[in-house]
Amino acid sequence: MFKEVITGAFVISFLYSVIRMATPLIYASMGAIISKQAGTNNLAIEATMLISSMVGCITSVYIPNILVAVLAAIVAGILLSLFLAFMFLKLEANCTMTCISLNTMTTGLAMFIPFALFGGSKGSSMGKASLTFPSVQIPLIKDIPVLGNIVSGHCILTYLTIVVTFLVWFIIFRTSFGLRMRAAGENPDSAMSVGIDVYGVKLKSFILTGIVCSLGGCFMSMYYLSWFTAGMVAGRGFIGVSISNLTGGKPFMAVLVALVFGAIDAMALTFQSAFNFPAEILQMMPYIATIIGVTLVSHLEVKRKQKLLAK
Amino acid sequence: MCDPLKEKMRRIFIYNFEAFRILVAITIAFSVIAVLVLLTSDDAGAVSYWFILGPLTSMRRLGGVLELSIPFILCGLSVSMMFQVNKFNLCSDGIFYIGMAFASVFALKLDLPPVLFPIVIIVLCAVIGGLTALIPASLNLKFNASVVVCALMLNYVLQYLGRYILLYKVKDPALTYNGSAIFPKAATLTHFVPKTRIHTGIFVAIAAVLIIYWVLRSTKLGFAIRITGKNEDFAKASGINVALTVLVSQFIGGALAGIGGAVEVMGIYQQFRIDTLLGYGFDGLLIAVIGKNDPLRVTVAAVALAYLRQGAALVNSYTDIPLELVQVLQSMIVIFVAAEQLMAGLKHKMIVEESEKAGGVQHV
Repeated sequence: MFKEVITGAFVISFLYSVIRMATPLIYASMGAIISKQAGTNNLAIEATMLISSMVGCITSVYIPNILVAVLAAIVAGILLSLFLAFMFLKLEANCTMTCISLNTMTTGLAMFIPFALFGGSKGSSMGKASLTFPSVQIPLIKDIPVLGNIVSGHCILTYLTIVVTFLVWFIIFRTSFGLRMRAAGENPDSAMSVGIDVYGVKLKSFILTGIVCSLGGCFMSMYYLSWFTAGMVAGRGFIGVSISNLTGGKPFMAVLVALVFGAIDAMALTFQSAFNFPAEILQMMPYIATIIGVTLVSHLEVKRKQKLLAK
Repeated sequence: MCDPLKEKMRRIFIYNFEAFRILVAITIAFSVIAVLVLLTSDDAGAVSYWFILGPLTSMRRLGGVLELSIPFILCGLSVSMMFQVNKFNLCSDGIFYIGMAFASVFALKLDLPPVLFPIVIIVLCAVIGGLTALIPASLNLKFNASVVVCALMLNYVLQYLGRYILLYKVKDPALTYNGSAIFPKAATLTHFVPKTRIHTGIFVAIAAVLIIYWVLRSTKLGFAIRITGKNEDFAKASGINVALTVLVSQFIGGALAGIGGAVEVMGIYQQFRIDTLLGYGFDGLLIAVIGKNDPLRVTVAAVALAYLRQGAALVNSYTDIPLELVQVLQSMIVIFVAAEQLMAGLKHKMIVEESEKAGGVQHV
């Protein structure tokens, strides 16, 4: 058994699945970062991912075109974010409570809508298979012995994370919109006093969050699995929120942390197949890691602030 | 000059504004669900019959409402205890589940005389639940970690912990499904109403309501909890140990959820065979929000939700609408109740009118 672990093939497949598992986490954390920079601790990332993965999957059953499916998923993500923005900005709903309820609501919808459309047994997963993204073989790189096996052959959405991460960083830190957004997030009142349309900026940030998260949702139902079940996001949205908290809203750092979480996820998967270890204990690991990470970083943050005050 | 009836109505509206707001939230949620049902069901009449009157149609179904009220009351109390001090510690769901898991371990491994056995199990599960609830709360107090994120992550951890206990500690290999052996008779709660599964756990729930009511109303601790929840700074300034108060209320909340799990598994299932979270923690959230953290109102809300759930279960089995729709309904109610500004404009207008009138009288 141990021999098998240290062989190259094992390491390569492990590193491959690290990237694969990190992809939805990167999308989730990018969405959370946009919301966080605009001053909202958006716990509804989970709901957004779930609803868009469902819409993507359902659309692909009716219109077998993957681009249309992704677009539909993005529209669904935006609509959910708009609803959230309406609740927050217009009705001033309690943020935590709304997001939590939105998560339960979408879980309910995720069971109800596929049933209403396709029938089948109540409450179980959707019986129809979804279209899936093909794996992309990158020319040249795929021929490099070890690296090719790890980096090549992923979903197009995995490669898109590089673009999305850069875009998110660019929008937040290099555009005037990003500056306004950060100002509105840091201190809405003073932002308003210098003439920033805080509501407009926040609304746009919600829409951006919706778009980014729905790509993560598409990855879940159209590549990670080729069907849809109500429990498929499995807390990845929350982990994304934690990652954005851990990194203080910095996109590139978030990618690194997402890779660490992806590694923990992948470890749980590979150890399960390699050793005869109870899967349940391994499956706890990403969640325990999140708790420890959140605690550690919050603690350091408090310490840092105390130091600043002491000066 | 002014219509006295209209005047009176306005007074009633202003003073019972919260109740009206909840009513409006419930109405909005029900209307949305009605539209969904009309769109998807072939027989909306049957759906509304089973949903509204279904639970009253037989003794067994009416009993089902009370059976379900037991965990709902305990979870509602649990969440309201935790929320009372403004900590969104949402781990009741996971605690309820491991309460069931640990209760089954104790029921199968210990051997005690009847009556004493369930009591011991309930106390042990209460302690386990209370200590578990302290994890997110103390991480928040000590390290300033987000209590919501920690609690939600903890729910997943507890789910896998419970499943681990089920599969590796209590699983009866003779069974074709994943389940423990049936508990010994001494470790179960008696069903005392014929034709139903209403069990003695209902007394535990009632006792919990009364004790919490008493603690909140007439003890020093309850006072400290209420003041801390209303204004933490004021509590600190008045010499209340805020951190300790928060921890105690989280412990009590967790203990209630643990008791809920233990009572449920000993009363209803009498074996452990559930491999996922039941979502009662989130039902507790709705109950606590509607019940405004008051134990007696929480009880009413819990029974009402149990009625709703029983109706939904009947709709699920007799019509073409699945059970999950009630989950959508529930969360919509919470969202609209949480919306502070819902109807606030109307309230504002009425208060302005009222005060203008009062001012006018003074001038004359």
